[in-house]
Amino acid sequence: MRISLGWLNDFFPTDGLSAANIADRLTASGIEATPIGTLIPGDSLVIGEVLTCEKHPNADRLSVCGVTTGGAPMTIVCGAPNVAAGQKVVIAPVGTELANGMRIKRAAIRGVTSEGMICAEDEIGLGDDHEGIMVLPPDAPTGMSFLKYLHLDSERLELELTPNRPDAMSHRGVARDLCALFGRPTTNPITSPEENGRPVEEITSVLIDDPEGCPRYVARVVEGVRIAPSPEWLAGRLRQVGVRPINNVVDVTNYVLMAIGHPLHAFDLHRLAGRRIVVRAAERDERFTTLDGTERIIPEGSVFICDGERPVALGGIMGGLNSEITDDTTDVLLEAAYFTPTRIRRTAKAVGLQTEASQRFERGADWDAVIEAIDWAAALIQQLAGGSVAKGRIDAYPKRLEPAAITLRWAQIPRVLGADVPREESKRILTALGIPVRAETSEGLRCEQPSWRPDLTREIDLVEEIARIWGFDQIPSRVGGVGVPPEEAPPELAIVPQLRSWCIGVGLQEVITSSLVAPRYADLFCGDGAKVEITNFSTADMSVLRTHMLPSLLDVARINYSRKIEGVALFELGHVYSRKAEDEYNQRRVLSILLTGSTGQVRWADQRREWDFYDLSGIAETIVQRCSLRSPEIVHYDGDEFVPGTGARVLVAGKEVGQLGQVRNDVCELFDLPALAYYCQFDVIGLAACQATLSRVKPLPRFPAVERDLALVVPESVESQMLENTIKEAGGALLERVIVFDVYRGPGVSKGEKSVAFHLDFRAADRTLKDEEVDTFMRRIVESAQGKAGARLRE
Amino acid sequence: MTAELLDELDRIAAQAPARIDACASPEEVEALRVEYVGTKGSITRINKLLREVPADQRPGLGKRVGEVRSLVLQKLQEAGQKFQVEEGARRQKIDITLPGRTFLLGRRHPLTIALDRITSIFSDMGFTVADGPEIESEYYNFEALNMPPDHPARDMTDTYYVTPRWPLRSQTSPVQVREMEKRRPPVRIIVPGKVYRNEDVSARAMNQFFQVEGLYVDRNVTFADLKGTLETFCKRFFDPKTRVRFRPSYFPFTEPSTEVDVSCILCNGSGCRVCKYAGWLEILGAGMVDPNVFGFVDYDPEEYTGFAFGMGIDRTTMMRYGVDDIRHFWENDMRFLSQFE
Ligand SMILES: [Zn+2]
Repeated sequence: MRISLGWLNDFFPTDGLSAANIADRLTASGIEATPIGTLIPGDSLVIGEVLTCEKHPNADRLSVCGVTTGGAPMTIVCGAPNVAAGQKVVIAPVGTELANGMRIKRAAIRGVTSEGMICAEDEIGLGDDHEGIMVLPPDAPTGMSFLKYLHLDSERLELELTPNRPDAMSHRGVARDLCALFGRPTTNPITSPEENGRPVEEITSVLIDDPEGCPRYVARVVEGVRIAPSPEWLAGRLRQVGVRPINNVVDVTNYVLMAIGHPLHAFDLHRLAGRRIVVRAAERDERFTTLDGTERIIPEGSVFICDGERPVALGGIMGGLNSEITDDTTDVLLEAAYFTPTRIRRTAKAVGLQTEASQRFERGADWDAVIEAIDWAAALIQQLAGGSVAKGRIDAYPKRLEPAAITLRWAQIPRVLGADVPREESKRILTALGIPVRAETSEGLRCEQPSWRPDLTREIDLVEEIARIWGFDQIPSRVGGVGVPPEEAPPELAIVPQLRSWCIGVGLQEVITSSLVAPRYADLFCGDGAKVEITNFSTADMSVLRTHMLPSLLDVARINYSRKIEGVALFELGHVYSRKAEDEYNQRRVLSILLTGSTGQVRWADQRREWDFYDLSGIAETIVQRCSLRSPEIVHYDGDEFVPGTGARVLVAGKEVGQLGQVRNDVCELFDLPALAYYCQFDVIGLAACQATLSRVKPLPRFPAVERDLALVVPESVESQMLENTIKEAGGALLERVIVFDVYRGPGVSKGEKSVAFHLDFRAADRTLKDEEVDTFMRRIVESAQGKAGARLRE
Repeated sequence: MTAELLDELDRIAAQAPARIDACASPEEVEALRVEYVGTKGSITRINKLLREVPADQRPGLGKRVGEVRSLVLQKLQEAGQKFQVEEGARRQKIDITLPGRTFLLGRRHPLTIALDRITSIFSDMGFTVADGPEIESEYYNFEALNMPPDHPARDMTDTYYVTPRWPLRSQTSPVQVREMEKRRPPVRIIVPGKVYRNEDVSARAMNQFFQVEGLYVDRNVTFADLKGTLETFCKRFFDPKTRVRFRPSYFPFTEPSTEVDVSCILCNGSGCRVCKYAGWLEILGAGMVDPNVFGFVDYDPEEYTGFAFGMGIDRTTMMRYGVDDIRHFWENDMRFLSQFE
């Protein structure tokens, strides 16, 4: 919202204060304000009189004008068809910078030197009219600054208002804060009409059928007005704050609105059937054409202002086309009402209309300002449009609005702020803001809510008022009040940074991807439950919460491939989502890993290759190792993500903590991936649950180990983990370590078989083992492998 | 035995200097070094035998071993220096400038880097990490945060819904309420997490982003603590010279409420394009927990006070590194991500 400093001065003496001073103090007290200068640039535009106007000797379409701005006449070459001697015009002297950025220079135009420009509307920035120059009324004073003449010479402020401050949506509202901030008294320009007409009750009546939606409705009548354009001072002020002038009556309602914040509406009394007002709630599916010319379906429960027959205004939001003021209007009914905020809000939202009125009513208007507003409007209409103001006003007020009584205890101020504002200062601030202090005790103050401050109903609200006017910068900063953490983070959160650092340690790049995905991605794999869809999405590609992390990571690989980055190793710690039951949603944190394409090892000394299955399983093993201090067990799993036969569950102590495998080829194709992809996911809660910490170190061995190698030939179907388990079992307690160091197929091993070679370390804690002892263990191992896996020693 | 060893030492002392001087190459010097003082060298061997001689003879012999050893070492060093000029001949032929083998260390995402820093600063100040659901009930996302239905503050954000009663959380603040329900004061939590806004995705806006929410409730927590805590945070997160400004504002769940601005991290307050020539950047919203919110979690507002704060990290991270398009964070182009530490 915009305010003008000149207008502000009607309510608050601004003398000696710059726009920047005022903006800074407002900003520091909760109303974000930025100086934005005058409406249009052009300090040097001046009113001139065309003394002579002759055809240019060398150009048909140009005129050579002799113009005065009060001093010696000057010559201006003008191209407008409508220029004529005797006109009052707007002159841009040499040096003026126009709204469009053009700078006026002394220039010879076809041999005649022009000393300025006669301006058209669009050149000044006032409108789009470029038909001809702007011609001012004959009484426009020659030599006067044009901006001053149009009342556009005032500095303005742009305000960023928070929704709790509807009262500040006017010049008077801002002035109240300024008076408290600068310690100056408010001033009051509001006038009352001369009630020179017949009693209002003889002319019209108001009936409120919906006191819930409209607790108060005040009406006045002005008869015999003459509709005309508003004078420049009024039009200028409206333009400065972004309101388009229409005619004197409508402009007055807008003027009062922007001045003191209360929305008014003017009806053409003759167009009101029965010349009366009935306020009622809208029924289902009623249609109504608002004065912007749009026919709308009005939601049930909206507040309708009706005449004797039909709705004539959508209460608190917009008037109707059927009763608006026209050039022929002679008798005006003025409305100043108070509407219940939630009712206005619902309707405005449903019909998608945000108006100056609705914005104020839905946040809470001033229920007592109706009287001031309607009186002042009647007075101004009388002043500008003539007519007689009917005697008295109708004040239908079926539902009295009561201000809240608020007790402020002195002790609460330091308790909340950590600073003791002097009592006198607190009292001064409240009083200056217009908050009535009804009583004072040693404990505190008893105050009353002002009718224009819907946000002040509780003690804490007053503490805030005192704090913001006194100044947050006066409150000291206290450090050290905060002590040790009350408790540790839950394990499933505490493990997250650790998982991240392990992933980084094995060379994975962290990514963060959107949780909102396209439905086709959400449907790709089974999730934990039904997918969760957004009802009010803006693009379908981001309309479902992801059910699985794999499509998100594949998409990252796709983007990178499309940019010639041919290989990625990624991880993401993110959530997958599902609906478990009605109103029951599940969000599960998953560590997901994707390897695809080149390993990125491409230097001269590197071994160039692509990521493969064993890179993935090695990474998975490392993470489980670091987390649980033990090796995972890998068992077959036919997950729908994986190429059959490559899928695996990762178990720790028999509990599944994740899955891994080679991503299905048709899925890779969906993401245009030319290389094989490998994916692994861990349930973070699962990993957190198997987390182990070292409790006691093992003593370092004092005796050497006996090392043996063992190559076993087995059928292809026998898997290494099974062989390893067999060896460990048969090897006994002194078998310290088993490592698969070679897998061989080829000459010496028949087809359908493979040779798996193990390196074994035996060690006793209390002596050096003898070879004969170890030979016994080895025999037992070979026998066991023979029996359980059909293995034989490789010759 | 002592006499024999002394004789041997004398012999070494007599012969070694001449032999060392006679060396014609560094290799020969090295050979003599091994012969005399290497791990199996003669002097080393004698030294080891010390413990086998009678105790009364040990000091004398030990002293003599030391003398001879010093003498030999000195001569070896002199001889070594003589050959140093010729050392070029001993250099290994290796191109030490050829790049080494690729050793891949991964990296954190830039948003994680920011989240981790913020979290760790607040952890140092005694805050514990907490977490909550992103599909949130209307009750926690709005009502219990003092935003009843039809409250104008609900317009402050555009919210996604999965059903009319279940929004995607538009802020991390619901976790405040959930945590307070779980325990009695003191509550001191920090909540990093993802939030959602129904916005069209563009260079300047994303429909999801990361926020960090903080809450401290106890007896005697005041606005002064809020100021002190957030000033400390800003100075540590940005720069010790950063200036911090508290500006009254409005949030439905805090009162008094404040916006926290820091002096622009790029122009240091003198005004630039990023701070729109204001010299200040708005980075945090905060305030004293509204007594109504305490009402929802059954804390007595006469006994407890508290402060809460929240900050978005995406924009701050963009400003800090000059990222001109917020979508870079979500696309994960490796050439972008690999620039961060
Ligand atoms: Zn700056």
